[in-house]
Amino acid sequence: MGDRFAIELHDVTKRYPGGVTAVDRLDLRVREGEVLGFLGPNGAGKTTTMRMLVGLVRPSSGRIRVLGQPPGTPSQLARVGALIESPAFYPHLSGRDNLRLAARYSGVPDSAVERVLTEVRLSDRADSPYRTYSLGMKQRLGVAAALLKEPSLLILDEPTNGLDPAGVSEMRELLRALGKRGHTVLLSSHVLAEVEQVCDRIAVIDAGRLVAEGTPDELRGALGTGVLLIDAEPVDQAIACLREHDQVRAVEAVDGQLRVTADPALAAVLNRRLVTAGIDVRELRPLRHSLEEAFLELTAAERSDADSADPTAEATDRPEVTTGVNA
Amino acid sequence: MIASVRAAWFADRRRPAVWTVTATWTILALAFGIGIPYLVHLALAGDPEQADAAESLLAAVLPGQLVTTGIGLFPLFGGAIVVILGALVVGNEYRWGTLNLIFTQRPRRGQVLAGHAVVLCGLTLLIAVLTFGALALVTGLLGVVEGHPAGWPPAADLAGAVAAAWLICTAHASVGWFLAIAFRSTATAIAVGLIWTLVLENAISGLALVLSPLEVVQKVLLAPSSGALAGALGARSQFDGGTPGVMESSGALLPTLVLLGYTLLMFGLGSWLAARRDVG
Repeated sequence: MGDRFAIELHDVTKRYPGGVTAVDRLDLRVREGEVLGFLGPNGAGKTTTMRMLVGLVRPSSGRIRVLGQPPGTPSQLARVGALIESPAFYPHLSGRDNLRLAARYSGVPDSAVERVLTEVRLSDRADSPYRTYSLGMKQRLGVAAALLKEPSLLILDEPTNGLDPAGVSEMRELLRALGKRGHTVLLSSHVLAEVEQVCDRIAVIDAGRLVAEGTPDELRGALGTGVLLIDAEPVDQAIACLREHDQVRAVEAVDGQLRVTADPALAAVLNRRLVTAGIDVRELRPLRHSLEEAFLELTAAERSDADSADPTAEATDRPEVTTGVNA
Repeated sequence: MIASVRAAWFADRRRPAVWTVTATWTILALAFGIGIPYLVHLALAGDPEQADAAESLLAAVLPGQLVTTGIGLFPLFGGAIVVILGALVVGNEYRWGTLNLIFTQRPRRGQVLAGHAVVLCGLTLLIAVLTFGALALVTGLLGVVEGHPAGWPPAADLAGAVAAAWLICTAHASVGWFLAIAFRSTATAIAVGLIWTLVLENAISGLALVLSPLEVVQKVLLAPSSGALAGALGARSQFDGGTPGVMESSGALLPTLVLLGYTLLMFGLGSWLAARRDVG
């Protein structure tokens, strides 16, 4: 991963006529060579942000640099591959001809068409008209078009949409390979497991604003659950021992494990207490959110903030999250 | 720019709608320009009282009047059809969402649109050539069938008529092209374009007969200028027993300038609008 930024958004706002603010003072930076998961609920502003990165939509205010240049310039577009929202191609042309058309616009030789068709495993149906394609095939063609220019930066909006499980797996492998080859990837997806497996970092936006940013571990860990999981024997003695500690708020046994409601910083203290009491401790770890739980909590907190008239709510209610490179 | 033209041609030449419109117009031109007058001629030929009318109709479908018969078809009928072609070429990009694809490749938006405009001009030239070619073929055959000597018009007159037809078609197509961008829709562009050229402009032309201040307005309208250009090349106006849409004219310069103005204005406005607006 490089030290330079492939994408820089500074204080970017996009307001549409009619007063809808799709993106609201967004700050986001993506390092070169990084695979960034871009998460957010429907209508959060992900697609508008991606459209702004390729110049399809202009920001109302703020500054955007993509590969060091303003978006939408020929030299910038030559190095960016994008699949934004649903794939859009000429229905009467075959998949191959659609790619040849894109290649002509890009100044890319026709040989690149065969390369990307192979890469997305669409060669067999490449001569069928696009209108006969299934949703998954359309999606593959969209990804193929994005790869056509061998871009430094790939912007992919829901690339696995409509793919069968095998296709999702192949796409995941492709994204991993692209990341290893040094491509910068901005990936929007609702499949959190996919994001977790593929992305170096994740940015979460809601209502057009950046809610959280960090590695998947940071996001999960930042939202502390306040629960420790302890596997200890004998269980009854362990429960009694833990309940005697004045900072332990609750202890319950679930499936042979103890769920201890306490500050995770107490882990070492509780471990020593149990061992000193002659109790065997096999495992002690903080209970962590899944990425899905973290995502839901982060976006729910944002909505709660938005609904609240109290300007201090944002500072007090929202979980504190590590902010990766922007810190 | 060349890459954009090549890409636009690659896409447009494979659109079935483009060839449907071209074929439809060619068939209509043959039907209205040759078929119907010839059938009426045949119906009147046996009536001694209608002999002059029958001869006049026959003359109109023979090679000698190829220029006037051909160019007379374009102001009203051809123009309307070509508005549809202009709207189809760019309007479907909005319908299919393919602007997302082509605006995120390499060229600037202006170059992409210029590519489409150049291809559209090529298609209108093809339509003009094809129409006169088909008319020449059929009038030549009728000349043989009717036993009349060929008597072809001078090549320069024929070239002038093709050029005028091209200009009329391009000006109308540019209007369809602009409307499709303005409305981001093929259907709305076609509807508005047809109402504009067939209804609104004809209504103003009709009113100009009784309201003299409208005569100035009429001179800068698309359909009347097309009719005036056809009239300047010898086509008979509707009031003189000719084709609807053709107008009496004192010269070709003003209508030519007006039509060129429409072409440049519509292509320019459309490109400017598409380049500055958000896509999506």
